[in-house]
Amino acid sequence: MIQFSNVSKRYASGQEALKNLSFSLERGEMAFLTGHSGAGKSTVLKLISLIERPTAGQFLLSDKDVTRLSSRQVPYVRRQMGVVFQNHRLLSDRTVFDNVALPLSIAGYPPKEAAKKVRAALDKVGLLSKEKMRPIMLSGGEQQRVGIARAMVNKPSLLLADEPTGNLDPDLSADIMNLFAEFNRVGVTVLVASHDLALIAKLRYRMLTLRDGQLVGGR
Amino acid sequence: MAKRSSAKTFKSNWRSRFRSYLRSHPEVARDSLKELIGTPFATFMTLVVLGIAISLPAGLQIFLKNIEHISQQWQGNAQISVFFKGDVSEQQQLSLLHDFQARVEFDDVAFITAEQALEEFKELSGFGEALDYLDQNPLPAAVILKPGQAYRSPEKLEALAQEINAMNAVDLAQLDMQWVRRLQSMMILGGRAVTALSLFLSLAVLMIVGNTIRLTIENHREEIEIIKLVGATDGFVRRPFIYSGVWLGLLSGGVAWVLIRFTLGWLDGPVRQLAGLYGSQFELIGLSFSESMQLLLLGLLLGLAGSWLAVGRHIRDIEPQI
Ligand SMILES: Nc1ncnc2c1ncn2[C@@H]1O[C@H](COP(=O)(O)OP(=O)(O)OP(=O)(O)O)[C@@H](O)[C@H]1O
Ligand SMILES: [Mg+2]
Repeated sequence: MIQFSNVSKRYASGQEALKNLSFSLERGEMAFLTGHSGAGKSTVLKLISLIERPTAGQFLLSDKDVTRLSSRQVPYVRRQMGVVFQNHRLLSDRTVFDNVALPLSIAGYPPKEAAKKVRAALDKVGLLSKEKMRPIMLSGGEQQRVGIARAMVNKPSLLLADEPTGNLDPDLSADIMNLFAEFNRVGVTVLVASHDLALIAKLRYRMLTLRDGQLVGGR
Repeated sequence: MAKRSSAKTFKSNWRSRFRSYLRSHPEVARDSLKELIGTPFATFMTLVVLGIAISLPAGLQIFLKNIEHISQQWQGNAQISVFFKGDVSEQQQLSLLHDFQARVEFDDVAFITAEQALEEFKELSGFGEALDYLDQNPLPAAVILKPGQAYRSPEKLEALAQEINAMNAVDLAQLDMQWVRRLQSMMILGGRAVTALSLFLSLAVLMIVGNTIRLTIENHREEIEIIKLVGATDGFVRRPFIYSGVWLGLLSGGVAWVLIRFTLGWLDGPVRQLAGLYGSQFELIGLSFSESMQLLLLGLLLGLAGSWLAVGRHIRDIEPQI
């Protein structure tokens, strides 16, 4: 699913965020990406979601070399993955329903078909009753679940999450992680960046540990 | 990843997606309009500025059109004065006069004898008494020819004058065309000036729309980042902003139309009065239906171009961050 070969990333500022990183994630696998602050976790996710491009090395997404994918192609690749952000990144002036429907309307789904998918996704994260609310009226955990519903509404085969539990209490964090595990059980490849080691340790998934842009441990 | 399967769904669904792409246009257009209405004060100010910028060249164009109309009316006063050679007998003069009267080109043919000419000259010149000392009338007899409607263009008038000049009995056929020529070259100059002004003001409209759209894009930066993150193409992101520009342009075309109508209505009374003083029935010519449509179309196109410029530059620059 994901294959990094000697990938390096140097930001325009000169900061070398990743150095010769090589790892791969199999189809249907779930893994955690950990490491100290500034280790390069977000950078890995940004490369995979094509927000940033590597400065060296090669990287494959479903066996396709996307290292030098043209920017016109980027949106179509992004539609095949779901991304969950620490700060939710929801549209504050739209309802929960519209937020979750966003990837579908972008992909041009007919409204009826889209509505069915949106309700299914909201049901999965337990927010069906709040579809008409604005994100601002929801708690942090609920907002995060809206973000997850949006990431999953188009049934992507890859789910990326950057510190999805960053601002949540332990119980809510465990709920969110269980949600990811559930997606993984139905075949979705999941990669979660988190430094919540206590939580990760409880879940028995593969762990990729970064230090200063290099992989120091994998399990 | 499901690259293969999704590629397949993309192909099989291509038709329905294209249809929904088309369907989404009216929706996007509506949303863009709603957003403009959502900030009524800012939108109103922008529209007034744009409306004035569009109405200025359009108004000047109408002004020129009216001048042209006046000059055509004045050409109705065009006349050719024909003076006979000294040795032409009265018999010959009368026979020529009949010839002129028989021609279709002239609406009116008037004969002025040498005595009449002298009387008139005395009255108009103020040399009355001095002229009494002359023992001989220095003025020749003349014929005043008034060409009909169809023969009043400068070219036709000149051709007529030339033809009459060539006649044996005629000393001089004089056509006072100078003022028509002057007016015409002034009109050409005015036309050029209006064209240049139109270009500058169109450029200003383009810039104002571009800048307004740039600010709108800036206000939606967060939203743009988010929809790019979930897979929006640049085209999808662009669309609502393009529509905003089109609406701004179209509406400011409407504002310009209203401004012009209002100004013409305001000027109409005084113009009639002035024309009345000159004994003319001149009336202001306003905007015809097709000119009104052109005005709206001009606004629309400027809005479209302005937003294209802004959108092309700024949307590509907004890349999502996480
Ligand atoms: N847009 C950027 N421009 C320049 N430098 C950046 C940028 N983003 C990240 N960096 C640098 O790259 C390094 C890795 O950053 P990254 O965000 O990947 O770390 P992280 O592991 O996600 O940290 P955290 O746990 O604090 O989120 C850091 O030193 C950071 O300062
Ligand atoms: Mg980070």
